[in-house]
Amino acid sequence: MDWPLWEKKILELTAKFPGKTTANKLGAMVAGSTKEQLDGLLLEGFAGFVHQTAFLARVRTPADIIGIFADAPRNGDIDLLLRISQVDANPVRGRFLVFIKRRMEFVGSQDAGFLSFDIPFPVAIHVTGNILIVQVMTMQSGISTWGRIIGQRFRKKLTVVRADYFHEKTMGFIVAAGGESPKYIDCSRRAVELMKSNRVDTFGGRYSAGLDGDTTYRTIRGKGKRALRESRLKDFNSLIGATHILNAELVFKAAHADLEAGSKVALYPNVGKVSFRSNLEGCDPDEFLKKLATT
Amino acid sequence: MNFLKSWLLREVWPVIARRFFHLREIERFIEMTGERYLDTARWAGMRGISEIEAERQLEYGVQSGILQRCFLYEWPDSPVQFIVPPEYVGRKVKLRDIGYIGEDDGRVIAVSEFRVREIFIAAGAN
Repeated sequence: MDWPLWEKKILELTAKFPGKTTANKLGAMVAGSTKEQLDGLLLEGFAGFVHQTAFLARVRTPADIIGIFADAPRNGDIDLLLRISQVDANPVRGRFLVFIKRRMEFVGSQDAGFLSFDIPFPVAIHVTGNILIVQVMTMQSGISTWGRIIGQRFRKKLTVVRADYFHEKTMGFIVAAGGESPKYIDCSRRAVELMKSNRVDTFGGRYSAGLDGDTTYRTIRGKGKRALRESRLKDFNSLIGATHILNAELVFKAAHADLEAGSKVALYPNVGKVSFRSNLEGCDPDEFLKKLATT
Repeated sequence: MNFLKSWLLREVWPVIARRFFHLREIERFIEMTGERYLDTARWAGMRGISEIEAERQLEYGVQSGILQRCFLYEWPDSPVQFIVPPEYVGRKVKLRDIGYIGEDDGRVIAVSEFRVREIFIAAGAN
């Protein structure tokens, strides 16, 4: 069964399920679907819908990395479990959905005290050519949502969920399985190309001055804020002249580089980290990431 | 100009330059960028050679005792980039222990092998 994840399609898919609101219908759809169907939905979501943070790395032995994930265990009390494995032999390409366990701590309501739970978080892994892409779904749910997910009431969430944790775990899994240590990709040059485009506005940036420190430029936040190119041209030129870009906050004014108009992206180019801050409907984040990684 | 930089200019880089017969190129590089470390990509770019050849030359520099292999921590969870000796990879360091002064200088950074990249500094430089 095909599981496209566009918003319109979601509404179509949920239409036949009971419930007054979309949330209720979605709940009914989740309840009425198999684990395999929901996993497929998740993996497809990484290719064009879910808010996510991606990490780009270069590998010398992509076939070995693909083999490691294809052979990952599907069951057991371990930190990384394989859910979906899609491997192509020619060209060598692999796409995987894994769940990575993260211990989350909460303060329970009333006298429940401290509570901890092992939560599986979905992570998509993509090996294409010599590039390894790790995509982590952004989880910013409030305390009440976490309560609903776990089925308990909480007063406070003590664990901060950061995408970097899942990247680290994924890399650790590869090395523990006998694979090479992937090297992150400095995509500063590509980031500068994006910033130079008239279709992209840059609202903040930070670049490295070696060990002497770094320089940060930011526009005034809030209503009426203007892009760096319009408000601080000299600073903008310094930023795009730098060799190593540490951070760049971009908003796409028009469709460009496989992302749609309105897309918001926070780049950490020197370490190959990309945070998509907006809905990716109609975008092709996979292609965007692959081009970014091709330095 | 601080001591390390002037020392690099005066003592170390000329030695490397003589070894690689590209003194003018390196002098220009130091003057223009003020960089205190070299990495494979930068060296390859400067010399117009492949990264494999650059790696071989820098490796030769290490074997000759001119360069020292280190790592650069530049992950965005740290407010500053810092050089890490190989024996510190995999360990945790407090920001104040690497000389950072700020409100969050008590923060601990885990120097993971997946968050550093290999660089080369002048042997004996700290």
